[in-house]
Amino acid sequence: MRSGIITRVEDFGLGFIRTADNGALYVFTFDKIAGYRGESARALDLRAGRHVTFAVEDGRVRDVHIHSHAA
Amino acid sequence: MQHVLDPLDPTTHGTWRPTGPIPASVRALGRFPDVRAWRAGDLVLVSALAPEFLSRRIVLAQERGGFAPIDARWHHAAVYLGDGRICEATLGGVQARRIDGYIGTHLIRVRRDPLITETEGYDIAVHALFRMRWYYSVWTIVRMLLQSWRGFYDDPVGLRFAARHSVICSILYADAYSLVTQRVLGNAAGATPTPAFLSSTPALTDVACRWSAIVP
Repeated sequence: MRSGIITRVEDFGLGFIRTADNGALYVFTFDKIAGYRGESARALDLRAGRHVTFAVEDGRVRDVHIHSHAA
Repeated sequence: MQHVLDPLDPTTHGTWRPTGPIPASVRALGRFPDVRAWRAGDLVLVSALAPEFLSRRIVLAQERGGFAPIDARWHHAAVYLGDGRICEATLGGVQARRIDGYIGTHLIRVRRDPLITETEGYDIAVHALFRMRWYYSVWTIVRMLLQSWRGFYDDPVGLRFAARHSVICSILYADAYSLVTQRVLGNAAGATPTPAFLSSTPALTDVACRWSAIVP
């Protein structure tokens, strides 16, 4: 698993993560969030600055875990 | 090498018959892009032959921010929908319209990720259309102009939009691309997807651009 910070969230289901180690940028759709069942970004408290851990497979985000605390 | 549709190049390949009214300026030019090679979801880049104030500022900022002039000259981006129509974010917001307004006055270039399928291309077009009537984020443009002094290759903060439901032209394409492909254009720190970035990224390749003669 890699760790990073959410840099941008779009309400229609798109999020961007910047990794903590090398600053690489990844994109994910909300269906990659663990346990996601159609909630809005607001309901998930998903916003720029949130810490997340995520897994990457073939250069694409496979799943995202939102941490319970903000940056 | 960039495949550019140049209004000053009179070379044509085949003919094109309008299916409806077209602007008198396009009729006078006598040429229309041969859109048969273009697909829905393609990126359309334009560069005015005589750019107005904001376009000039964007070109200068992209050059100052580190892009080569051949890429920095592209100051606007749109998503091709098919049948000569595009979806674009302008100062009036996100809208769909015919490409006619750029014909004869702008260089036009079309790019595409060669890995995406035709169906995925339609999905990109749909996602762009989903943002119809979103606001144009002038704030983001101002921020990017300021960022250009530091260089687009060094952006520790990342892209920001001041208001919900606001977007700029190049992000309209880049976000739709990311939604469909699950890939970010430019997987590196500070790779702000300006039109110049979309021009230079190796993730996209140029699509054939040539003129068809409008039937007399």
